[in-house]
Amino acid sequence: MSRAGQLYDAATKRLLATEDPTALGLLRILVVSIFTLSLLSHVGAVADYFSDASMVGGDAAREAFHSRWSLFFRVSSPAAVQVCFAIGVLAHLCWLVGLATPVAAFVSWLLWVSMVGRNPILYALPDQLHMVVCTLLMLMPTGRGLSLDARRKGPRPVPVWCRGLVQLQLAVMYTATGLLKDGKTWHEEGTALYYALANPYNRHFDLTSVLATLQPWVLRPMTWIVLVWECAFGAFVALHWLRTALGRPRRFVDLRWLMLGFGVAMHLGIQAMMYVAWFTPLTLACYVSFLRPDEADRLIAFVRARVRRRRAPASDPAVPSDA
Amino acid sequence: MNRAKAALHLLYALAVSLVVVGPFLPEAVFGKSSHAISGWLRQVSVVQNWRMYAPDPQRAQIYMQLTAVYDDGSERELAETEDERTGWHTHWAWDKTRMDIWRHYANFKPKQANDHRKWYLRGVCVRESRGGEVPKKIMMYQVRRAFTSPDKVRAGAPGLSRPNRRFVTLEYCRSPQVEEMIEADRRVRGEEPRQG
Repeated sequence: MSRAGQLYDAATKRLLATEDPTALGLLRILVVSIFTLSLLSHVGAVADYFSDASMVGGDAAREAFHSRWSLFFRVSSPAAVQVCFAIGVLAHLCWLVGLATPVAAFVSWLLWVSMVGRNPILYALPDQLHMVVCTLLMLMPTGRGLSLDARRKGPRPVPVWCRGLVQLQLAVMYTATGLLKDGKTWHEEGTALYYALANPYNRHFDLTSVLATLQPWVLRPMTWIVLVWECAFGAFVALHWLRTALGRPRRFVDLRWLMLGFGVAMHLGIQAMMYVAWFTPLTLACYVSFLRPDEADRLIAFVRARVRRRRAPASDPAVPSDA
Repeated sequence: MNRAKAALHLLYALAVSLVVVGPFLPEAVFGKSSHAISGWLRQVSVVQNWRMYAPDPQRAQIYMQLTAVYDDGSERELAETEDERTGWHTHWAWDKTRMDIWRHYANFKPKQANDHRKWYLRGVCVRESRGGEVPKKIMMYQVRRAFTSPDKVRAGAPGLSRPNRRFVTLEYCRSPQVEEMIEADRRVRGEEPRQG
């Protein structure tokens, strides 16, 4: 075999390495659960948002949102749009349990593309992550593990790059956001978190005077830490990949607990303090892409054991309850 | 895996990765490819534009105030005005609808053209004409309140400045395009075309 051929084989072997499908399956379950809940939050307004019964319908809608593609520019009667939506809900449920996964994923994706494309200004910046992750998962073999398809066909390995791409997406999102935050509230003043939390458009609590008191000692340092963390996320993912490629040597510190732990705390803090639609649960669900299959297995076993222990008192009084 | 199959698999993985990195490809190396990829992805509503709280978070909140003016000179404040009255405290998920996002975008760039605002106001003409008289025009005002800096709040100032109301624009509901939208809406609802 030529030298070039050997190099090609080595490169493809590395890039196309496969792994147990459990981690990708768990990622599918969590992310598609969020998609389904988000989808169901449209119930009651589907015709008003996406059909000719909306404020801007028919030809006017096609003209207003001409840069987008949507099935609902073609199928636009209120009843037909509602039927499409119902089919989409069914597809989400199938995707969630991993039944006919590729078809279910495509139909689910088609529904989201059609909804967002039909009226893109009903969706804000946090919804962008939703569309990107939906597209990525639709293009991946997410039904090979923890699914009804896997039960029928048996678990089949999945490419490692699938989880890597979701990790990369998070890195792009955080790093780009961090680098674009070049205003003085993020840098000189360190008041960005204060202004974000004091905004009456989406704050959960009116704590302006408390926040102002906390500003010099808590919010200003936190503003800078968040900025550094976001900008550093890309480097973290690169180091994580390098560590994985080197076989996870003990001297090469695993930064996942630090970086993702901070991310979890930050997003839960945001969720507690302000309305950000589905951004927090979706982002945290995407963090599962950093779990290796063996870790995903352990997590599932842990959850199963907890559920079994909680159920036990009803069926087996001999098993002590922790409730 | 044989080489041909591996090559196909590799190409597929690279194509999928373009969803993530395509819009960021450097122009010096890849020419206009990143723009082309962004355009294709945008058509299916995949956008890699991450300007959340960038370059700065909002430092003021603006709500729209809409008034319908009728042929006889009478005026009526529309539902949107409710935000301006009650929107300065707190909000939870159950207070919000997707329409809030459209209204939020419609408030941007009050002194410049804003398509989101134009289509929103045209839509308001359609909505207000349902089951009633078509307004002659919709007047749009904005009420803006700036967020007080933390230093001043610590010194005892209120968290929000006094409301500042200003006129933004008006939309005539009898313009040919809006008339067409209203007639199309009546057809969808199975109503008779309007006379005159």
